[in-house]
Amino acid sequence: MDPAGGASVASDIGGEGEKFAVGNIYSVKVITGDEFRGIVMAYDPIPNFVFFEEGTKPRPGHSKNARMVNANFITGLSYLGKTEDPLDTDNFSVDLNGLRAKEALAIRQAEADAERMGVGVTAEAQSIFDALSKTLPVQWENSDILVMKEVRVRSPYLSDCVFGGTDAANNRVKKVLELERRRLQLFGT
Amino acid sequence: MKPVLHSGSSSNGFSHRRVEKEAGMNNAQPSAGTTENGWEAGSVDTPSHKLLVYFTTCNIGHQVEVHLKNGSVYSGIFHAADVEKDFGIILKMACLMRDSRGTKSRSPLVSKPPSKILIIPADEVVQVIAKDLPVSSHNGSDSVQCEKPLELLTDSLISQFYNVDLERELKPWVPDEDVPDCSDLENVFDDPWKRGWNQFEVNKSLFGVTSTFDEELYTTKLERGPGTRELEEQALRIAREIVGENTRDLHVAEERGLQLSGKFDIDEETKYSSVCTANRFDDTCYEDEDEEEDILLDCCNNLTFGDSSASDGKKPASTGMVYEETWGDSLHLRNNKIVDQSWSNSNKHSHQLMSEQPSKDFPVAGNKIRNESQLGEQRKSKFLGSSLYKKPSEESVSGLEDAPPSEKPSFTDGRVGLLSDRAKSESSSGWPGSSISRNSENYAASSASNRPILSPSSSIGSLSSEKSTLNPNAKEFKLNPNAKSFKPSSPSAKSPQSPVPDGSFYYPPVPPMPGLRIRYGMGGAFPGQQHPMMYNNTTQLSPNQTYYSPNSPQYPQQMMITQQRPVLFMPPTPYQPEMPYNGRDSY
Repeated sequence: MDPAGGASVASDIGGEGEKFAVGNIYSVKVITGDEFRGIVMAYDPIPNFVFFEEGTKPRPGHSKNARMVNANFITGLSYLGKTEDPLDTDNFSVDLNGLRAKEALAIRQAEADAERMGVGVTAEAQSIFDALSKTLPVQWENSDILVMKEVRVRSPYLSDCVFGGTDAANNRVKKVLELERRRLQLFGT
Repeated sequence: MKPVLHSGSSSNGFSHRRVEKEAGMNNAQPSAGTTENGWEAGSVDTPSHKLLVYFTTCNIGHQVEVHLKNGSVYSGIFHAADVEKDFGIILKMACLMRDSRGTKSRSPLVSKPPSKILIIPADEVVQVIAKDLPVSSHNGSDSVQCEKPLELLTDSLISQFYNVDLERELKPWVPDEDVPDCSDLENVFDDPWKRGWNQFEVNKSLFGVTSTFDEELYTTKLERGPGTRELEEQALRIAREIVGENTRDLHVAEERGLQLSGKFDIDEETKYSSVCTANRFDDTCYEDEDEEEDILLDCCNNLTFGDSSASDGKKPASTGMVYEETWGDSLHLRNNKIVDQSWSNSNKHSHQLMSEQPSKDFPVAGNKIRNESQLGEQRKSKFLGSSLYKKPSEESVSGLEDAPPSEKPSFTDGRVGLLSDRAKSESSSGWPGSSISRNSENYAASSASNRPILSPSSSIGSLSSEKSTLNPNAKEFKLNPNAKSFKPSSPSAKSPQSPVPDGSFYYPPVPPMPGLRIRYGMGGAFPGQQHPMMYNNTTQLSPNQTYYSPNSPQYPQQMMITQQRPVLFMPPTPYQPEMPYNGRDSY
C-alpha cells in the first residue's frame, strides 16, 4: 500500500521499525485534530497502522482504551519515552467463539436499540418516546409513537395529539404524556 | 470465521475487500471467502504483524468509534478489518455520531437509522477508538469477561435510562441571610449539656408545661462539690482506659478501632449477622460469651474499682501477684479459665489482695460508696465482714504486693460490696452512668501503684465459706448485720430489671463444679442464644439480677438458675430477640 501519501507526514520508512517499537510512548496528533498520548502495543508497516494503548503508563492485564491509528494520518508525533514491554506474557490466544458470541450479543442489543430510535424525529420526540417506554409498550411508526398498538401520538406530541384507542387508554396515555413532559422540562433545562 | 461479503451501505459507495481476522499465531487457516488475492497466510507473518492481528482481533464485537478523514465519526460494532491490506474496517450497526460538518450529539443522530453493515475503506480511516478493550493475554477467560456484563445489570441499564446526565448542578446550601444565627443548634453532636439548650425551659415558655423531672429519681446522685472536678477526671480516666482496653469481642474491637481478627476475609455477614453459625456455636459462642461477660465484668469492675487494675495491669511495677496479672488480663479476660485461675489465685491471696486496696482509691468512699453499697449490701454479708477485716491485715500481707502499703483505705461496706461485685457476679442493679463515674471517682484517684482490689475480694467472701483450698490466713467471715437478706425470687427469666434490685445478693454455697461456669445471657457473640447458666463457686448470682452495662441496651436477662444445680439452657430457637448484645446495636 502506499505508505507515504500526500497527506501523510510521519511515516519515515527508514526508522519505522524503531519508530513504533512496542513500548514507546508517544504524544500523537492526527489529521482530524485529535490528540492523545499512548503506548505502542503493535505496529505493522504493511497496513501502516499503529495500535496504541491510551495513557502513558502501561497497565498489563487491564482492559485498555485502544486506538488503532492510521500512521498515514499522523500529523504530529513526539516521543515521550519508553516503557518495558506492556504485554505481560507472550501467550496470545483469542477465543474466537467468545468473540463471535460477544459480537452477536452486541448486534442484538444494537438492533433493539435501533428499534427504539425514531428515524427523522427530533431529540425531544425521542426523549418523550423514551420516557413513555418506561411504563408503556411503545414503538415507532414513522414519526408517530404507537402506544400499546392502539393509541397514536402524533407530532408535536402534545396532549392533544393523542388519538385512538379506548377512552381509558387514551386518557391514560394523555396523562402519562403530560407528566413526562413536565418531568422532562424539569430535568431537561 | 466466515467473512462478510455482502455489502451494506458504505460510506462512499464502493465495497471493499475485507478479510476476516484470524486469531492467534496460526495464520494457516484460510478464511472462507477470501479476497481476490486470497489469504496469503504467512506472507507477512512478522511478529509485529501478528501482534497487530492479535490486537485487532480483540476488537471483534466491541463497540468502537471510527474517525474518518473527513471528520465524521461512526460508532458501531467492530466486525472485521483487513489486516492484510490496508486496514479497511467493517462495522455493524453503525451510527453516525458526528458528521463531517462537526455537529456533535451525545447520542447518534437520528436522521437515519443505523447501518446494518458499514464498510469503511482504509484511506478514510484515521483512527479506531475502542474503550475498555479487553486485551488480556489470557483471553481464554474471554467468555467469562463476556458473561460478566450480563450479570452486572444496573438499574439504569434495565430501565434504559438515557437521561442520567440530566441533573441539576448541585450547589452547597447556604442559609438565608435573614435567618438568625442559631449557633446553639449547630453543635448538635456535642454533648447535650454543652449546648446551652434547655428543653424544659423551652417547654415551659412555649407550652406552659412544668417539668417534674428529677434526674436523681432515675439514677444515683451525683455529688457536686469541691471534689467534683477530681471525680470527673477520674471518671474520664477510667473511661479512657476502658475504651482503650484490649478486647476479643469483634464488635467492641471494631468500635475501638482495634484490628482483632487476623483473618481479613471475614465478610460482613459473618461479622454482623445475628445468626450463629454451627461452628461458632460450639466453642466460640461460649467462649465469646465468656469473653463478653468477662469484659463486661471487667468493665464493671473497672468502673467500680477505678481503673487501677487496668492501669496496673499495664504497669510492670505492679505487684508480681498472679492475680494482678490475671486481673490486668481480666480486663482482657478471654475465657473463664483464666478467671477461675484468678479466682483461685486471688483466693489464696485474698487477704493480701484485700489489703492492697489503694487508699486513695476511696477518698470519698464513704457516701459514694454507699450508693454502691446498695449493691454491696446485697452481697453476702460475709463479704463485707471479711473485707472489713482484710483491711487491717494489710501489713500482714506478705511479699505479694510490691505496692507500698496503701493508706488505710476507707473501707466501707460499699467498697466491699463493690469488691464482691467484682466477683463475676453481676451486680444486678444496673450501673447507672453517674454512679459508675462516681465509683471511678472513688477509685480513680488511686495512685498508679495502687493495687486493684480485684474480684478476689468477693472470692474471699465466698471462699471463706468453704474450707478446702482456701487461704488459711484469711480472716473469718463476720456477718454484717446491715446486709439485707436475700430473697430468691422465682427464676422468671424475663423480668425487667430495675436499677436497684430489691433482693439482696445471695451467694449459694454451691460446691465447685468443675468446668462449669456461670454465664450471663450477655449474648455478645452468641446472638440469639441463651446462655447456659452455670454456677461457679466463686461467683454469685441472683436469679433476677442482670448486669447492665451502661452503654448496652438493656435486655432482660435470661437467667435460669437453680440453687444447687447448674442449669444448662439451650434455647430451641436460634434467635432470641431479648438477648443483650455487647457492642452491637440493639435490634
